[in-house]
Amino acid sequence: MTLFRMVLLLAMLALACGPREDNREQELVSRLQSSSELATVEMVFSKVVRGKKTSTILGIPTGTSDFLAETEARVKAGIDLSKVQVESLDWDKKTVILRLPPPSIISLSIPAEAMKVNEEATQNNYFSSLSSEDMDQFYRQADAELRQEVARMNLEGLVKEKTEGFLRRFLQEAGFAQISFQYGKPNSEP
Amino acid sequence: MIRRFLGLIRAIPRLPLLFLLFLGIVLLAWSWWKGWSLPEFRGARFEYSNGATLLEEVHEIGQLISARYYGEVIHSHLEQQEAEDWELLTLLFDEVKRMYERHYQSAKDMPVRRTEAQIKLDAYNRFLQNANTLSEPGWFQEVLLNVTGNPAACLEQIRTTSWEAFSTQHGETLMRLRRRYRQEVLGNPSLVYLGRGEVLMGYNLNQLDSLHLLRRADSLILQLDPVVIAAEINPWYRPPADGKPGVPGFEAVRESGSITPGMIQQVKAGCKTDLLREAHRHGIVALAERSAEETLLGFFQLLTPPGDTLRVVDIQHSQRWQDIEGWTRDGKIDAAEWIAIREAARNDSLSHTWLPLIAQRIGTWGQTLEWNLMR
Repeated sequence: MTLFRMVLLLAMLALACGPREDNREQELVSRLQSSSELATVEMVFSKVVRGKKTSTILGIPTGTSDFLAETEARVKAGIDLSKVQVESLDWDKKTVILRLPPPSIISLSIPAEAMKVNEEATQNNYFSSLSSEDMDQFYRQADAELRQEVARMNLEGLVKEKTEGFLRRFLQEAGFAQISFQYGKPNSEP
Repeated sequence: MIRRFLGLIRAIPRLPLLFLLFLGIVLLAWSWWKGWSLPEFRGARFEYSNGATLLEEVHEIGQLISARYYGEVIHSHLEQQEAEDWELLTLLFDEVKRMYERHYQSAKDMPVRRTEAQIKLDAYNRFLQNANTLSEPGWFQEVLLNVTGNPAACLEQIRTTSWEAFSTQHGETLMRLRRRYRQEVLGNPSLVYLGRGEVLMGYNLNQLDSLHLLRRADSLILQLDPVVIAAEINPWYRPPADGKPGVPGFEAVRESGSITPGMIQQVKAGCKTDLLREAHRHGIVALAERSAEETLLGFFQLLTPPGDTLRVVDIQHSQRWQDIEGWTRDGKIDAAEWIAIREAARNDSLSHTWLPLIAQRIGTWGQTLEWNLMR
């Protein structure tokens, strides 16, 4: 009977063993690549990061820590300059119509130096202290959320306006008097 | 009491005990072989509340991003302290120099006939007797005076040379000794971060006016300096999507001792600087130049009047950039070049682009220099 209990205990122990957490993707290799993006607008967002960590031992809560921080995100948007096409060009009348590719987000940066922990509101419980990895978890959630919110904001109009403004100034310097823009695929394409 | 205890042990049936031991070994061996871990009894639950996201500012820019570098770096708190320590060593050098010079002069002025070696020995002994009055901690003094392996000779060198020349000669040894002391003697808190991110290099086209443009035959010459448009390591390198797990941008590799949010921020900033240096090591400037020339050639060709031919766009760097290239071409910098670099860094808003290039070319010593200049 004792032997049976021992075997049962060991079997439970074996079942409780989980695979070692290893979600790091090793696919990242350092690489350099050329690009041809023209960033025409930079938007600065502020974001509040709030979270709570509850530590447990065998599922029983032992303490809770609160986390509050502010962060900033810089989003650059523009167009791919290599995909710009000339729809029509008249050097005598100094007029040009450019067909621009659809605007897109070029970079999103959440600088570490802009992450400011509110030390008054961040309560570090002795039985549930916040480690750097815990704080990073909250920042990661804020990052994912920020990306979704930027996508939802529909910034296309703003990016188009700034891109046209930049190109208009640039082409006026080159001597053009009348500059117009079109978007999307050329009419000749199916 | 002991007899009772021994009796109790004997009473335990041997077979189940041996069997248990055998099963335990089998389980451990199997767990090790399968790469499994023992059960974790401690856990944590995380609750994230959505905070407000506000669009604060909108800036009009005109930046051509012509090269991107993706990479992975590791940075520690120990490396981060280099700048602070370097500044302390600079101050200590001046203090030691003044104090030793004073003792040397008073030993020399004594109305007794002595050889130069006797004067130096006397000055050295006097210095040692008063070394506890120096403002910096003892281990710093030890680092500074042991850099040549002979404290008396080192003091003499400090007396007769400048900090620029001294640190150019001994910079790397000073940093090695300092690292050993921080790790082995002081046992500082340890924090090591792995950072994955990208560097965007390109050109600021807003700066392009008729002064920076020159048309010569079938080529267009632009005078522009490359600029780091962004060096970013975000919380997510790649966020989870379509059921695929995400790849974190920052990951704490090691954490021990008392870590403050300020320390975390410093180490993360260090990761970013290392990433920039790596981008330079892989030749991001050369690619940015080549790629921008191709892109701009394509764009300008669209707008070239009929009968006119544009075959080449040539981007040329400013005199400042050419100077920087020249200072670091041999992989070393001397004291005069160091002063020139420091001056240039103070007056150039683009120093964040070229300082990592210098640091990458001249190694560890350059890294220290870069930190000092960036502060």
